[in-house]
Amino acid sequence: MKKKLCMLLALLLVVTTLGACGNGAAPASTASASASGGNPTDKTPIKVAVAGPLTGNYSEYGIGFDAACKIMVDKWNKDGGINGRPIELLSYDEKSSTEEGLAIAQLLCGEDNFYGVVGHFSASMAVGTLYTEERVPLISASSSSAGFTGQGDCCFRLNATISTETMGMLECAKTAGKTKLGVVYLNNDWGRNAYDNLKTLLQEKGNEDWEIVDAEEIAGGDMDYNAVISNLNAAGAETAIMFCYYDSVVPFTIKARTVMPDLNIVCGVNCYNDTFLKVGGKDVEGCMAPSVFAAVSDDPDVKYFVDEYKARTTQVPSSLTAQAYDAMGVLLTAIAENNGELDKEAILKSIQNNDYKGVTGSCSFSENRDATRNFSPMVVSNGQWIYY
Amino acid sequence: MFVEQLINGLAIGTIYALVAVGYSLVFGILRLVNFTHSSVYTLGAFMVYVGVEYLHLNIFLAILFSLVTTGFAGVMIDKMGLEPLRKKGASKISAMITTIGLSYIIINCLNIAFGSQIIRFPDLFNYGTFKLLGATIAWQQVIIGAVALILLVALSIFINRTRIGLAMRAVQQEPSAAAINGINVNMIISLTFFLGAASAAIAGTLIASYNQYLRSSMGDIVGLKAFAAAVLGGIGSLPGSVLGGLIIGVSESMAVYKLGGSYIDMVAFSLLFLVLLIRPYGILGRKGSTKV
Repeated sequence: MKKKLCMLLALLLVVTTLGACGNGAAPASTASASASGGNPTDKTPIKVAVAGPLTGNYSEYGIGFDAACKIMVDKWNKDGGINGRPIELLSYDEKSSTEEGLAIAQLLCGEDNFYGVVGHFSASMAVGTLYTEERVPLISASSSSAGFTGQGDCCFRLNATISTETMGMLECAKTAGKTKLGVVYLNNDWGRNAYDNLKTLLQEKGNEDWEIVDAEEIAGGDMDYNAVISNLNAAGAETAIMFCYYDSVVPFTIKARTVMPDLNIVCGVNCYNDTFLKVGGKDVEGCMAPSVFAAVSDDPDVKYFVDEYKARTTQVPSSLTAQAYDAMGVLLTAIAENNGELDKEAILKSIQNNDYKGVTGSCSFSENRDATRNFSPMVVSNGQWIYY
Repeated sequence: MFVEQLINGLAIGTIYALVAVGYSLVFGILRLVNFTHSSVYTLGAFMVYVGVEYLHLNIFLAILFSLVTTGFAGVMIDKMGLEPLRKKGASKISAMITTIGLSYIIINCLNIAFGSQIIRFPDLFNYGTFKLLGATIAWQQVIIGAVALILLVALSIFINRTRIGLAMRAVQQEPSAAAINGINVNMIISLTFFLGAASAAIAGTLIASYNQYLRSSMGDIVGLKAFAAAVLGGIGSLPGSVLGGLIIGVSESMAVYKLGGSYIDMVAFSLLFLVLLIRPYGILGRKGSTKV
């Protein structure tokens, strides 16, 4: 009896394994079958994904990406989807963790009828190679690290490179007429790269318009910022250039207002968000940031996005959120092109050559798959970000 | 500049001290490192926020509400999580792991209820700045430091000069002998948890007011540093916790002053390491010391 049971189990194991092998080979055959994407009777959903930190310290960004991508997908589905096929948005929580982001990427690469992903945040620099190996387009709405697009030809970014963003921040300081810079940067790759980039930019420009009087590397988050502010004060900084996320900029700014009320605070585009304004309150009035998106714009597309976003989240969309919205727009437009032929290489080519005009302006990519962005200096006034 | 950084360090150091006292209180009685302490500290700050935002209490009533609810949460941690283990004669390591688990449960509940983003907290003590020896000092720092010190002194008097404090010390010395003498040991342990949680709630409220924001992860690093302060000063010793907190606070701000912000944690913990090499029982701790 025992022998028969063992044989039965062994048989079951073999059948299961063979079945699994069959499934493993499925993406290729599914891809060729779904290459008839133009077939009007085919109602198989076309899957795309958004991945970002929905929980953890950076959840502000992931929640925004998620909501923005849903708005874009709903808009397309309302208009009939892609060649009559509905679009299914897969949403994943990266939990502000690189390991979690990698696990999500591995999961997505195994999906059938799956054609691209928008997002990733903490794991941006870890997942690009995997997506490239699997020929899955990845469009980042937030990565500014120099090496992001270097991970492979499937990696695109709508966020500006760190040097473009830094130049925007320097222009903010210059516009405000406060050019003695105290640089505060996070002690991670992004923060250090940003500071190195700033030094290189100033050297290239001959240090004519700006002067770094102090630089403070910080752990960020829940730390006591008083000691750092004392150093900036002693060095005579007029502008604090903040290479930090909003969860460090807000506490820093609150503290700085007591000891250095006249300090001009210039943050990155990541601070253009509603939580920054709500938590910072009166203390963030006057803070500056370069941005490609202005929620106060009269453009009908911007108004549609802002109204829809407010209706769903009760918040004003951030600059990075707007970039996620456009990134999904670029991806879906590329999938819809090529007469419904759902070929990943063709989709990649369409993304590379897109002439999409979104709520953040032109979304075309350079040869290196970096978006060309035009920043405007923005300032917080009466509780909202407006043009300076 | 030196004076300014010294004041910065003393202000944050007194808050570390207040949290460290909670670790010491429970350790002194139960010989247990209570890892729920950092999450109780966070809970305390959130309860003030609930009092102000949702129950529309004035700030003082909100703090009172927080003291009672957080203190009660401390008692519940003991009654539901630790007392059953004691009754079954479970090992200290089981109790310690239980506190780690309970800590995660508390933080997870706060995440579900309030999210993980930062939330603005009322500024209780912002009266501007003043100059001292050329340094710019915020009144907020002075007041927070003073409040923390007053509370520490009050706690010390309570433990050393009252009958309940005497009972606490008796339970710490020999629980069975204390019970024979009519002391309700379980009640004393509950009271210790209440005091520890209430002091953590005050510390959480002070730091949330000092930073003017709160979030569910705010206890992570403070809890670790306060624990380091308790060990540095000699865990189980109240004055040791205060000294440890002040040393960690001042060494952090001096690290930023002389070396840069990246060295904050390294300097604080290196100091702990060095002191323990020389005095394994902490600065004011003694071999076999079981002082509350």
